[in-house]
Amino acid sequence: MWIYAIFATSVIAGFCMMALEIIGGRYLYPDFGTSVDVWAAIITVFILSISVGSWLGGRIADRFHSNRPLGWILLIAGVFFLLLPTYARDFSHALGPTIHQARPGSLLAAIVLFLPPSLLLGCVTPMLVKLLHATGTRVGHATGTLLFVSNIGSVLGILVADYVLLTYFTLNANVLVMGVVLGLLGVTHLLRPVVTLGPDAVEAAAADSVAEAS
Amino acid sequence: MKHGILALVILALATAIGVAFRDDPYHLTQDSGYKPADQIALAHRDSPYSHVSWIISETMSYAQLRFFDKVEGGVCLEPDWASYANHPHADRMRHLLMPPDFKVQYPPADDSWPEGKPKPNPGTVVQSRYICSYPLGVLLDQEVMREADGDPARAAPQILIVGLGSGAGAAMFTHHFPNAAITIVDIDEVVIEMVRDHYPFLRWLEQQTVPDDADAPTAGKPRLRLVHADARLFIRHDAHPDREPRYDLIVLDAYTSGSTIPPHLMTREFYAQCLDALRPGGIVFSNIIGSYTGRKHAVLGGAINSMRAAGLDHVHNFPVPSRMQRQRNLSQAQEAHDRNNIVLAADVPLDPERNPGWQLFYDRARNAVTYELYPAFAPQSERAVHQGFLIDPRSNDYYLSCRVRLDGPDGVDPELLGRLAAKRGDQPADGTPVLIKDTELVTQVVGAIRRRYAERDEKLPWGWDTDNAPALAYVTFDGIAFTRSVFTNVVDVAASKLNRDAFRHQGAVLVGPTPAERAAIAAIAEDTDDPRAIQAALREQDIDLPLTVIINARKPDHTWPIPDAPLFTDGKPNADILNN
Repeated sequence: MWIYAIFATSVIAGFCMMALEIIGGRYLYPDFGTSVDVWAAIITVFILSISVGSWLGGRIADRFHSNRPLGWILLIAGVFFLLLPTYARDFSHALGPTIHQARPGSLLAAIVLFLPPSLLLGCVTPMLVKLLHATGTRVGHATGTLLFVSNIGSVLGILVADYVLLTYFTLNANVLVMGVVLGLLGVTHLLRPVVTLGPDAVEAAAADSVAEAS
Repeated sequence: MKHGILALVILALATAIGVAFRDDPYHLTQDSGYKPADQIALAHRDSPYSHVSWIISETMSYAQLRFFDKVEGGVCLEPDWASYANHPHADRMRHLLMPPDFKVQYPPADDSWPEGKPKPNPGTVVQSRYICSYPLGVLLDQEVMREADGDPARAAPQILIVGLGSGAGAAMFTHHFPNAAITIVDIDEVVIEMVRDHYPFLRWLEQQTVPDDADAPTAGKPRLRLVHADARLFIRHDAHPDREPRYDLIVLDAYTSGSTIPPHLMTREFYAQCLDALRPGGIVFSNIIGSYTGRKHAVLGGAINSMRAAGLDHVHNFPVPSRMQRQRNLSQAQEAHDRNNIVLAADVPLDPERNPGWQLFYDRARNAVTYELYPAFAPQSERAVHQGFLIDPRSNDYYLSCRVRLDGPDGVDPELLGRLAAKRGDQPADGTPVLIKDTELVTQVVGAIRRRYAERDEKLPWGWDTDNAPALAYVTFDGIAFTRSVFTNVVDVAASKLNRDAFRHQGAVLVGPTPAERAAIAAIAEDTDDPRAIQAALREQDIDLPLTVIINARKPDHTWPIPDAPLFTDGKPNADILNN
């Protein structure tokens, strides 16, 4: 049961992060165009978020031994999503006349608009690894599974955003809904705190889940 | 150690195979009657957006810039400079006379240039139907034509073109309007360089200015400017009315691969920015690939809707069916098959009836473009190219072979050609295929082509190695005749009254009123049911809608010809996704 909660968190966080990348790009279109420079800026920011977020998430995970920081991170990420529609277009628009070349302008806009929420979401995976296996046994297994799940979430985020979300809904509507979902996920974690499992309980839980599956 | 050596061997093998057998990126396909047997790729470059190649073919008499081996149309190899220099009206065609010794630095080494093949020396005439319609954007402009007393030679429009392509648009405008000042903006620097390097006429135009004695608003301005920028940014910042005089015409012809218009150039906010960059009464001219009920109807309908919502209230669509569509059932071709659509939009009425300058032009150009107005259209000695390809008119897979040249040293003998020409009769050399079903004649032509290729010990081009050729499409093409006939047709379509012509439709009739207009109609309809009264009341609010639209808008279950046209805004920029 707990494992599925971890997987669900992973999928949702991955989905929202990549969906933001696809959808967010369109916030920059009116002021910076669709040139390769703009997409280079967006992809740079998201991969930077994964990079720095992984480092940061790992540090936080080792410092705290519960899912409480995870809950807060998800909640604050959700808040950023929810507030994005209020300043995204105005900020790009204001940057326009002063730095209207695509390269520096789009980079700065992508950083201000997308780095905070995606950095927070980038912290999620290492924290989930820690929650899944506290003692570091079967680290390869745990990490591999979580990266698998989280990237499936990312893939779904990209495809669903492209095929469905952008076709039928406004940019703001998509971002607001994702903000609410992330926020609720964060609240759920905060309402159901879990202290990190010790090594014996880990083996037992793994054996349980194998028994359930077969 | 063993693992390391094995890995090294695999790596070496993979590298060797990859290098040795990599496919030729310049593989030109020949698999349709549209592609000629003698096409050659002269230059190729990769850009972040596309793979561009200059292709020439003497059979088709064109030089084309192809993007991923797609994009039809191009500029004609004839007429070239020499034919203009020797023209009886050369004195009035100085705007087309590039000096013979004008050389462009052709880049060496990085392009594969076959020995002995001519460099593209295109003139000013294009092979694309929709580009032949470009001059409408100026001719329907009330102020420019009034200033010029209806004479294209005196019209002095400032034109912005979005999307360079092969530069054919600039050629067409220059051909028609000697005093035009054209700016072209393209997002891809490689395309701009390819055009500068290999299209001498445009390179020359960049260095020319409109003569100071032209007594025109464009006097002294460069005739052509090529700008590397994203069009949205350019229109918003550099085309700003405070920074330079406003444009008279903005041509939107920007496409990414896949025949898709970038979504940020399809929104209501963008069209409003175009309106800001235009002088009052200026025109937005868009090439939009789509149809009324086919796969891409949402793009066409959405564009019309978004233009109207942006303040360009008067929108007209001129569908440009392909040659094949024109030869088949017209109404079907109009509605379900995607094709080029020329969409003209302005915040003033575009009807020629309200345009005195147009009337002056049209009276002099009635039905046959007079050579007084367009010396460059005067017929010259027969320069037509004769082409043929095999077809099966009974099947949907119409083309059975690629195109080959029928005249000249590589063609069939003159007597046979004469018999084909007799079948053509009086038809102008505008590229319209003539169907030859006489089996004996077709067999003789196929035999003659096969013999020629056998004599030269060359492989037969695609499709000619067949014993089953139901018919032959015989094409005579002369660039001037083609341009003249398309342009004449376009002018007649523009001049004809609304609803009488299959090729001109009002935007409001296609997609219905905008929500604001709908609300206004509903408000007025509370007092009166008479459509004329409603129309008059709307006019007082500065809303000009045809009666058809008002009547149909009051019917609860009326379906517009383009159903469910979306509204593209920056908040929901999904034109490219709906395009698929």
